[in-house]
Amino acid sequence: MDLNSFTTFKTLGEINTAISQAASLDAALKAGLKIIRDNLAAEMAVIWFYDKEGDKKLHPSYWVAPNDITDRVHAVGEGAVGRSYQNQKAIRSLWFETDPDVATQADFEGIEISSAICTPFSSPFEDYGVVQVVNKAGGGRFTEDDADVIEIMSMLVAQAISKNESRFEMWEHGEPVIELRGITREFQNGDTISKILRGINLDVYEGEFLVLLGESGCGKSTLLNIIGGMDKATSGEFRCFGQDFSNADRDMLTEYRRHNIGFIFQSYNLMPNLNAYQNLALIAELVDDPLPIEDALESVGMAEKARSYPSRLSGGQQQRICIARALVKRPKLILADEPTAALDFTTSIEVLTALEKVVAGGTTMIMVTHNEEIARMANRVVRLRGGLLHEVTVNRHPAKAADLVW
Amino acid sequence: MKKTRLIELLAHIRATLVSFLSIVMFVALGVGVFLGIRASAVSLEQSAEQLFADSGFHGFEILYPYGLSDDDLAAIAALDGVDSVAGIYRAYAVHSIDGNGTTFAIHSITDGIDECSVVEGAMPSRPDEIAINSAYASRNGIHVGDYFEFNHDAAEDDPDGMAYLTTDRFKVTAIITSPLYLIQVGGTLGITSSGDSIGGFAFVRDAAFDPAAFLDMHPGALVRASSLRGLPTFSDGYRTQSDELEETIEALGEPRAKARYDELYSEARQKLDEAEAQLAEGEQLIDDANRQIAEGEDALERGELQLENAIAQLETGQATYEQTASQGEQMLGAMEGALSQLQTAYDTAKAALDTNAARVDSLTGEVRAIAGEISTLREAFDKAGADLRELDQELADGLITDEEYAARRQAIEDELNMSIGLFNLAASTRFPTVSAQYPELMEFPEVSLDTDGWLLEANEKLSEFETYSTGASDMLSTAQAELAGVQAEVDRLDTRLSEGWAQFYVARDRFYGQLADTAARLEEGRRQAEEGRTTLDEKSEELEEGKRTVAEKTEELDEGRSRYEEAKAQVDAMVSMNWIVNDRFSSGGAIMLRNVIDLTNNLRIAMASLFLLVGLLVCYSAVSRIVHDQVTQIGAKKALGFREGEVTAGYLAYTALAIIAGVLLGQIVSVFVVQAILYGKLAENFDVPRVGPSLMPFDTLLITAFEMVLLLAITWLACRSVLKRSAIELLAGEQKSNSRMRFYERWGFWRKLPLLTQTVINNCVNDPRRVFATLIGVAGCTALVVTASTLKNNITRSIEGQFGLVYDFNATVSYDGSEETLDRIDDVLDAAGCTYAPLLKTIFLLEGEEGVAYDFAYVPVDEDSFSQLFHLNVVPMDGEAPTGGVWLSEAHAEHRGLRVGDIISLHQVSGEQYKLTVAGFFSNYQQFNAMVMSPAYYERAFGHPVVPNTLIVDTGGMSVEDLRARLEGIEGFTTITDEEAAAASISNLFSGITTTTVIIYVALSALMAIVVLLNLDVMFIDEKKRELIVLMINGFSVKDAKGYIYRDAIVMTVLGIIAGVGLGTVMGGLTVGAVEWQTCSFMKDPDLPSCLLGAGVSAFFAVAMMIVALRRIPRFSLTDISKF
Repeated sequence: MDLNSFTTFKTLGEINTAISQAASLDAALKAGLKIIRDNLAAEMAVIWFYDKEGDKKLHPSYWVAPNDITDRVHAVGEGAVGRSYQNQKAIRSLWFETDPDVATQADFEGIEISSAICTPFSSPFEDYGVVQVVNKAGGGRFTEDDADVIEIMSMLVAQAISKNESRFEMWEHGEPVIELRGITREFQNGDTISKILRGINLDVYEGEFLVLLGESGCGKSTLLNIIGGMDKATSGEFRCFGQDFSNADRDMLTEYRRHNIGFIFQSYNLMPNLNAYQNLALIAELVDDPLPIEDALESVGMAEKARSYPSRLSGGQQQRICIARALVKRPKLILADEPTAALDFTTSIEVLTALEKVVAGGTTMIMVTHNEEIARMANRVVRLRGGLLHEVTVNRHPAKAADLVW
Repeated sequence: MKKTRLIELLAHIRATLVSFLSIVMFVALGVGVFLGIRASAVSLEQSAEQLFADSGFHGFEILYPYGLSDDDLAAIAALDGVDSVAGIYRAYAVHSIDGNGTTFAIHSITDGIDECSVVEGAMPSRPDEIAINSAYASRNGIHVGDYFEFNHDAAEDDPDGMAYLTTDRFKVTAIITSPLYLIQVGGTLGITSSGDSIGGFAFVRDAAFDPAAFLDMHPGALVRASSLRGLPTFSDGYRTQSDELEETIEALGEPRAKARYDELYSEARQKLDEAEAQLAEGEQLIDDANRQIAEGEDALERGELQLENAIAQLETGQATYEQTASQGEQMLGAMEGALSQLQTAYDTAKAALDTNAARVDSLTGEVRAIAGEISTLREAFDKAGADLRELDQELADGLITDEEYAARRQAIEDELNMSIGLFNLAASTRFPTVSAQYPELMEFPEVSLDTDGWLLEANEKLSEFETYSTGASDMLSTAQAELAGVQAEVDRLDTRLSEGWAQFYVARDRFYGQLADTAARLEEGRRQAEEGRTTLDEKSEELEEGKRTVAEKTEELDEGRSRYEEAKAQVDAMVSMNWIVNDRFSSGGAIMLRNVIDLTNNLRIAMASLFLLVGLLVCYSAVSRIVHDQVTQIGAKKALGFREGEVTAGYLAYTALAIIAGVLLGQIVSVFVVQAILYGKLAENFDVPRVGPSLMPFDTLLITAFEMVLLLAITWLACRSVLKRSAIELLAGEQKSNSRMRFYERWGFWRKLPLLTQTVINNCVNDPRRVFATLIGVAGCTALVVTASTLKNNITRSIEGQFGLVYDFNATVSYDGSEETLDRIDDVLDAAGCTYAPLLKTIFLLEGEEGVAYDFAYVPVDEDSFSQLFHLNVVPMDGEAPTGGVWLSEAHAEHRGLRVGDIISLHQVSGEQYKLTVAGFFSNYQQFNAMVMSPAYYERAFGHPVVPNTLIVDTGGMSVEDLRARLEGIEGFTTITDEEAAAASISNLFSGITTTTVIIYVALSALMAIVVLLNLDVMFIDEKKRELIVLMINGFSVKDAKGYIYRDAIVMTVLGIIAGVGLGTVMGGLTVGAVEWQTCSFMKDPDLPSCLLGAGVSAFFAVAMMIVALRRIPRFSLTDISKF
């Protein structure tokens, strides 16, 4: 057995094991794709699901790519993905430039594609969608063996899917609230320039609960700051509700924050000299039509603590006050930076429940967290790596706060 | 401001109460001190204003040495804006008590203007009545009803003295105070035109002055101006109006002064011509008299010659008489001597005759006695022979035993020897003459019966003795013959003696008779000579009297000539000058009052500047710290949509509230502390009514606005660095340190430093804001004390430093200017061991754009002795030094913008005007302008040599009072001034203000230490709490943990002190410069004791605050480590 054969068998073995241990279709696919990425050095991968209840098109459910393709759809038979689904046959574009696919190029706009493979995955009862793998690391190209592995992985996943799992609801998002295009952020430290964000493309939709995940230093807080109008991108385009803030000055950004953004801080940052009510009142006075303070407090279950000073409140209570403070000016977007990082589990669940209510009320929320479990609550989970979008997961079944366990 | 923001602001204040109060306190102190000082000055102004109003204080004083006529006064009164005018007289005289003289300024009473305040009695109504100043009266126990007499003699020659008064004895009718003499502190009340110190003042009616002495004019006038009425004296409006009216009066005076000058000059010229004619006539008379005297002298000389001849003859006769008498006396003496010798020979012969007669008588007796004694002895021998034989018989007969024989034989022998003994006794006592001739006869030997033939031997011996008896008879015969010869000689001498004495008595009588005759003739000659002498003496006396008369007349003529020359010189030097118009600040007290008010106002600005500076630093430090403490809150606010301006407004409102509270508190400090202390101190120096405290609304608004602008600006600055940061940076919290390697950490020696030292240095480098704040705190504490102490010490040093640095004398003796007086004073000073230098001290008026200033001029006679006592410490100034000129005190240059080589215009009080070249400037710390010029330059500039009138004296340990006692009574001596005492009174005046300043500043320094340093120390310890707990968890002791903190504090305290000393020295110099007034300069150099005091006080405060702060460390709970 040559080395390639050995690698193929090893990969397939690992995929088989991972799929057998996966709790859900999504988990199985993610695990399989991860193994493929690792073993075959794939750069990008997308799982497209067919929305049979809705628009009868293929929607991205999970992808590893620097692009936000949330809004991308492929009709059946359109492009490599649509054709693969339609024909239930893998399309191997090992030399992409000899047979370029326009739809694929549109999916990965701005990225040069050298090699791409689309493989349908389906059960004996239903065709679910397409697994798409694009480009090999280091500028290489996929081989036929690689394509075989991907196809086998798709088959294994399809075989493992039960009927119940196949009934999923597609996420129906609203209009984009935030639009980020090619956002970069560099910091100069002496002669050294640190590139924290290297070109983020992401849309945030109205009513969405988006979680930003990533390792320390990946740029998620920086991204949150740019979205919050507290920082400016070095380059790129930042729009909010259609208004371009890419070159906004300090005053514009202040006004942007004042009227659009509610912040929830990890360390609460309540005014220690004001009681809970006053903390909310301080912010309520900034806008013309604030939420009644009592209502805001009530919404987070802190009405009884209205006259308490922050130093008299527990961490969870303070954070709920902080949420209420964010709500009180009726923001279009709430940004939460590790809101539960300093809290214990029970308190965290209390806070997340409060946030859940906020999101359920239709407020868009972006949350930065390290906690993978919390990400289950999100409509989308965006994982950043090295200043780029690395992985996006669309939660077809967002979890309830009460169901979270860690 | 929105409600919640106001609530937050108040909550914020509550949470940072210490910082808020620190700003409040410093604003309060700054405002309080500023307003308090300003209000004190204003209160003093109001006090003066009230006094001026009550007394009808003059608006102007017009002086004109050539005199103001009634017409002049009427013309002045007719001017627009002039209310009333009063002509004045003024004179100076000395009043003495127990030998201590005090120069008095005697003023004429001007009803309605400059009215005195009567303490006791009533103002004089008669020419011989006087009102005396209360201070002098109370000091010397003078009461209403007493008589007050000036030293007529002492002032007789003084042109400003008693010649101007109609009497020197007054009845005291009132004890008064005068607005002209406001100052209450000791020392001088002013100076006379000749530079003497005025120690008292008095007021008399016009009639007490001799109008003729003033050329029937007034030497000056006082003016009340209606145009100035209602204007505050110290306001710019008053000054403007005053200047305008002053110009109007000067314009009025110009033609009148010119006319008066022309009239006087013409009159003087005419009188000079008359005097010259009188002098020529007198010289002719003197020449005649001198000729007559010469003739008298010749006649007298001849008489003298004749008298001398007569006296010579008399002297010869007297000599002959004395020689003859002497010789006669000698001859009589010789005769008397020869007779005495003859008498002696006679007496001798007579004595020998008596002796021989007695010898003959004695020998006769002895011859008889010898015969008798020998016979008795022979009988004894015979009896013994018979008894022996009888005994032998009895023995032979056996009648007796041998023993009885022997006994009885022995008894015979003893009886015989007894008889021999009796003979020998008689021989030695009864016939001494014979025994002297025959000594062997005097001792008859004893016999022994046992000897054979004893009887024979005894008889032979006896026979021998009988032979001697015959010899004695021969001796008797010889004596008798000699006796007869002596008798004959005695008789011869007796005869010669009688004849000699008779001749002697005859000769003596004749000699004395001749002598008495000669003496009578000589006496007659003498009497005649005496008569001649008397006649000559009478003639000589007549001649001397004639000479004296001529000499007196000559002296009178010379004096007349001298006065003529002097008058001619004066007339030649007469210049046409305008009236001297002084505003109301021409009197010493008013000048001092204005100076003190100016000083206080300047001090207000200087002190307020420092307070403001410190307040700014404290505010910056406090706000900066608050902002940095709240950096995440600010970040949160910004993140939540607060505009930067809104956040900043919160801090500005915080400071504004502190300022408002501080201003309100400052008003309390101003009224109840600063004004209460300072105004009291200031007002006690002056004889002015007291007024209540002032709230100074305008100044309050001004200082509030000023504080607002500056503190809000500094608040904005303190916030700016934080607030301009993005919300992200702010939310990230304060970056405590930079992890970058410091440049010095690459140095080799750095690695050799102890770890704790490295930590201390890095703590400082990594937290520059805290270092800056701490340095400000320590430096501020130090600077406050150094500034205040420098102000006090440099002013005191300057005033006292005049003695040693400039003056090496402590007294000034003034006299009438005559050489005789100078000699007499020199003698006293030499005897007292004093060092001194004579000089001319006079007073000039220096004209300039800034108005007229008084100047004391010193012109030494001997520059060497002067330079030993008066040091001209040259102050470098711009300009090219001329070869000669006048040296001015430094204050001139600074306040008048004078340069070396400039020409200054001086005129004397009497009117003469001179142009002098400025040669340079010297340090002078006395409270008056001074100038010095060489005698050569003086002579060149003034046209006559220096005539000294003053001595500067180093009493050499002797008190001035003791020296005064020695000088009193010297004719021509005027006064002695204790220069150190005069300076001390000025020093006391300043001391009240500067000591108050030092107290306030030290208190402020303590407050700053508590508010700033303690706060910073506590904050630092809290910041380091985590590190300290980690250290202690790892086994470091509390002491080690404290050391971690205080090493850092020591470094910063030392650095802060160094910075503070520098800052304080600079501020001290500026403050000292700010309080200088126009006539004096103070030392502005660094004051080492102040630096040491500042360093010490700051070190103490810093250490004390650190000790208090370090008490937190032992109370740290190590379990708190989990809370970080």
